[in-house]
Amino acid sequence: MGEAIVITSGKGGVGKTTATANIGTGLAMHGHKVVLVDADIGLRNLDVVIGLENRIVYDIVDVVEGTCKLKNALIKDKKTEGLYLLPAAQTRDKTAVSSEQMTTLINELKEEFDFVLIDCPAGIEHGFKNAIVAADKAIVVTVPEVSAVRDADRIIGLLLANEVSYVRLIINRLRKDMIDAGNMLDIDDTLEILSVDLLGIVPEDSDIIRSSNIGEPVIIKAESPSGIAFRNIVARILGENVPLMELKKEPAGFFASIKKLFSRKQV
Amino acid sequence: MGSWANFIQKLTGKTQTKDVAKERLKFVLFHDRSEIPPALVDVIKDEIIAVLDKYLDIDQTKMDVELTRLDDDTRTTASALVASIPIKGVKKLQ
Amino acid sequence: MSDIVAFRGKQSSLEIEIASEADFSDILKAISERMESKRSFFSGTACVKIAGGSLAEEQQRELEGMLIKDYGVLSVEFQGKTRPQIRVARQAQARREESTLTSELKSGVSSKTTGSAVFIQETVRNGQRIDFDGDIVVCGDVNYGAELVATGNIAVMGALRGKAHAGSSGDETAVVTAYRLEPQQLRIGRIIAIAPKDTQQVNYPEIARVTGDALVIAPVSRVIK
Repeated sequence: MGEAIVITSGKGGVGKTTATANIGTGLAMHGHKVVLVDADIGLRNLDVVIGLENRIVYDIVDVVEGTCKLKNALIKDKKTEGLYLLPAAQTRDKTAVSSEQMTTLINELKEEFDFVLIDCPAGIEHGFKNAIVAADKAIVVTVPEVSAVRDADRIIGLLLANEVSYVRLIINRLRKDMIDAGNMLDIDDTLEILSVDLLGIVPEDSDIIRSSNIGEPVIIKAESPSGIAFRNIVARILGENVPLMELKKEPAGFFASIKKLFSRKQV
Repeated sequence: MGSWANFIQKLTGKTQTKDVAKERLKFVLFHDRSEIPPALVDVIKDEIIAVLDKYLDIDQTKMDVELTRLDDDTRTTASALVASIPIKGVKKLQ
Repeated sequence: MSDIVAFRGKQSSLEIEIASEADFSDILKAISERMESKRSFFSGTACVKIAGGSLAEEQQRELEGMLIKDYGVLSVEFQGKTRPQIRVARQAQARREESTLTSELKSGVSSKTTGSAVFIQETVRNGQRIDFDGDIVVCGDVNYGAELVATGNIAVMGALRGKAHAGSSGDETAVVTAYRLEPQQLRIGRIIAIAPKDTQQVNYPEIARVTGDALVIAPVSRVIK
């Protein structure tokens, strides 16, 4: 029996979908059977981030309404062995699936997969409630920014109130230059306010955008700082005790860009 | 930095990731607006081949089944399924 | 209509002078029309002081309710005959509480209690609200967006960043204290306050109490009886 982990944040745009795609890919790279569930019905995005957007025939609403069997809707990733996607519907909205239907579906997936990762939509209404209803654990993603942390706090409160007691935090998009200058909340500030255990940190990294452009999760790239961060997060999920990575400054300025141009491939 | 990037591209002939992104985005948006699942076209193509294969000898390597926008203005979501299937001959029916 | 009420705007408060001989419904109408006509100007006005009008208690409550609910005013005070009575009543109540307690504790320590307290041993998060008839003690933080409402006192052994309303049934002798007092909003009885714009963060515990008609915040170690 596998476990269902919901990846949530409250605020939109902090990196839930990217985290879901990378953590899922990482777990599959370790040999586990992983299914990614896009619970953001009406605004599907997990498919595009993973690069499977052109393989969608059926989606989660088709499964729940009986139009097709679950196995017909699951898309097997050709680049990473053991990784599957259950896409969201694009032309319906979040009320198309009920909590009971979601629970049945997730439990069915738990029988076949080691990890069921649920990409939660932003907000706290129906979509959020559905995404957490069958979750065993939760990963809350936040960025070190006032409104995101406030929303994360609300979300943590709701998770605990809804019997998801295992909650871990990922702090995304950290910028060492801003933290050093005192212009960004650092890790300790954020943990002090949220009072929850840290799963990992991910530095701000332009490779994330490049990876999203080509539909390949950044964890596959061995040298990217954010890829390394996600690998560490996956290792911790699997029980390893990995120390937090050191944040490095991203080079800036004209000459640094020239240096980058001649030392790295363009993709 | 834009002109540098173009200069380097001409030198190396490599695609920028943003061009890949643009193409993928056009694909995704077209399918979202027309509400036709992206991979459905492949499924249809295979089934068309199966039917035609009963009666005609078709060149599968040169055939093309595509979902495109109807001509005229770029704002329309109306789509057309366009199939181009070279026929090599007629099969003798048993 | 403008003879019935006169508006005088000050720094962060508004003074309304009511002509004594007017009908209460006319007074309400006049005030509401003036507030409405300059809605954006008046909204968020921290404090409205109303003088004159010889309003009865229910009338005062009605006017106060309208100003707070419809026009976003934070607190309303009535100047005139009624105030001294309230002050006396408060003092009398306070004295009475102290005398029962010293007799019980027999240690000469001055204290106050509502008789029941709830002890919360975790951080109160954004979106959560604790409503209690008695005192509230939080061993943890109270985050922005969280709300504590107590008929008695509130003590936060951590950072108070949310809203705290002590003395919610009208007891203005209630206090709010925290290791770090950085509240979104503080309320004791009917007095509401938001932090002044140029607040500096301090790193010692503070206590907020009502003195006169204002909410005063003092360091805990220098609380003098």
